[in-house]
Amino acid sequence: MMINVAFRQQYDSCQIALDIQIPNKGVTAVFGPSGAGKSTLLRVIAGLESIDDATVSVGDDIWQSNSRFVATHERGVGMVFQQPCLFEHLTVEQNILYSTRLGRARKSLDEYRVDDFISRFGLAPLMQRLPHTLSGGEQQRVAIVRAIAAQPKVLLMDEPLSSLDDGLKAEFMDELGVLLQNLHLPVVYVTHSLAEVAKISQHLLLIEQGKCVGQGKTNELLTDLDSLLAKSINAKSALEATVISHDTKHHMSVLATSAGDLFTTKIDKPISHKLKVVIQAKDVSVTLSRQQDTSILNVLEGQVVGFENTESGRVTLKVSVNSCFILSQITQRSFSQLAIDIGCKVFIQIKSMALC
Amino acid sequence: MMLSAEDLTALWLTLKLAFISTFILLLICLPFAYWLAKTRWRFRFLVEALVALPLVLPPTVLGFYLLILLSPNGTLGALFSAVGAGNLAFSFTGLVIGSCVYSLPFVVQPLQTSFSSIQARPLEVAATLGANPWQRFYTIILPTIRPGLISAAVLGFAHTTGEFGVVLMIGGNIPGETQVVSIAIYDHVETLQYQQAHLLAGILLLISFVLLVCVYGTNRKFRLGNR
Repeated sequence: MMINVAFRQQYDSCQIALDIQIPNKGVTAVFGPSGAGKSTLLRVIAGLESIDDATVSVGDDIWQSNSRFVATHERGVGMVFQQPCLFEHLTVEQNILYSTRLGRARKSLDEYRVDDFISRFGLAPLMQRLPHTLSGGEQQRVAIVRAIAAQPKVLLMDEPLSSLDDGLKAEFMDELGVLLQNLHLPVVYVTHSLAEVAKISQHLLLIEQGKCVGQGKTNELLTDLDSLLAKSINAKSALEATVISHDTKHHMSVLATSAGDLFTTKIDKPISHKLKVVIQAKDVSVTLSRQQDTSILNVLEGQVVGFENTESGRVTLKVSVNSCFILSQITQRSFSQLAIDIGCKVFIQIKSMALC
Repeated sequence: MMLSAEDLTALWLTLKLAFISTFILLLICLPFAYWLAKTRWRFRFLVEALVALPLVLPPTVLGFYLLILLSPNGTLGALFSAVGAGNLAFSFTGLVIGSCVYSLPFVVQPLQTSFSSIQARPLEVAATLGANPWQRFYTIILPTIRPGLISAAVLGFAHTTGEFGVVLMIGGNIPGETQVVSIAIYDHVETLQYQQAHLLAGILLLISFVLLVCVYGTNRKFRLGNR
């Protein structure tokens, strides 16, 4: 079961020609620069953009083809826009229950964990308030819960965190990633933030100038040296992690990942809580031998499997650690001094404070 | 001092005329104003100018043309006669038609302004939440335009209540059929029955004031000048 979308559209500045398959499970991030056609893709899936000759199908349901166009309200999509766009004349509760009151609800709201979302997003005390009395972050949370309460077959999110300030965004990203993963609902998540891609998605679609230039599992694509992601200054790797212990004395937590255990600054989550840990490539340094007198707690042994020169004197190294890949960005000077090559055994060092 | 039977009839007739005209105007103007607000037709301004005409035309001019139109030889009058609906000129039905034309801009313009303020996005959100076009109208558009809708209804009603020139031209002064309060007041003044004129004028003043107080009191967003 896949979500299939294909369409072509000529705009003034560029042509969008997409023909893509999106897994019908998990969060798929659609990443690309502004104007690449990401939002148009979501609007076509939602039926908000009428483009001739487009085809959209979700599993066996055909939403658009040459002979068929299912109207947006009959598709069963949930959509979260950049701006919360709450209905100003309705309370938070009425906004969330909007679709239920239209009689669209097919199943109990429990199945979509709506109450869970309401409490985790801290919306319970706000239920009777009107939207204009809420902060931007609160409004966007209501918009997300409202879309989920509509019990969609597909959840579409168009840069949902872009209207939040940075501090709030980081905090919210963790919550959202975990909650979306537990939804058992395909989510198509448009963003131009690599941090959101790494944290929230399991699959990734790269779109540039109206074309799909890469597609695959997020963790693999992030560390693919042929893709632009690994060359950018923001290059990141992501690992699935589980909280295994807390060291309250030193205000630290230990995470188990398939690359090995990692120390991080204290995470406010219970033992066995699952999360994604994102490692910035520029926060990873390499040594040829294991350093003893270092402040860095996370030292993992690995093998260089590839490297790529980037602009402005940086080199991105791809290091295999216990069958996971972690990126490291070092200067060209260090690279030649250490005489690193493919197959080279290295120790990678990650500052605990840099893990997020 | 009590109202005479004739004055009571005029008062009743005025209210009946205002209610019916406002109701018909709202039915016509809701879709019409929506179209005016949303159309990208490049000759929209011609329609807008036409709608605004009753605002600037002397009532006698408007009344004169309406009289021609409604008379048995006029287009509308002939049509009504042909289907056996009787004579339109100097009838209550004729007055309703005249009022609808006369008060049209007062109902269309507040509605048009309200419809123009509706953005596409909330409607798109509602559609993704499963609302069909009718549900979108009922749950999103209608509450958004509520101040404009009330404004339109009040203006339409008040303007019809105070109508004089057009009524005189197309309805004349037939008690029980076309004699409205404003004309009854004029009659009283002409025959120097100031007391009765006072009473009717006072009632009209009171009705208008109570109506506006109710609207302003219940709807803080309401602005009569919001056009």
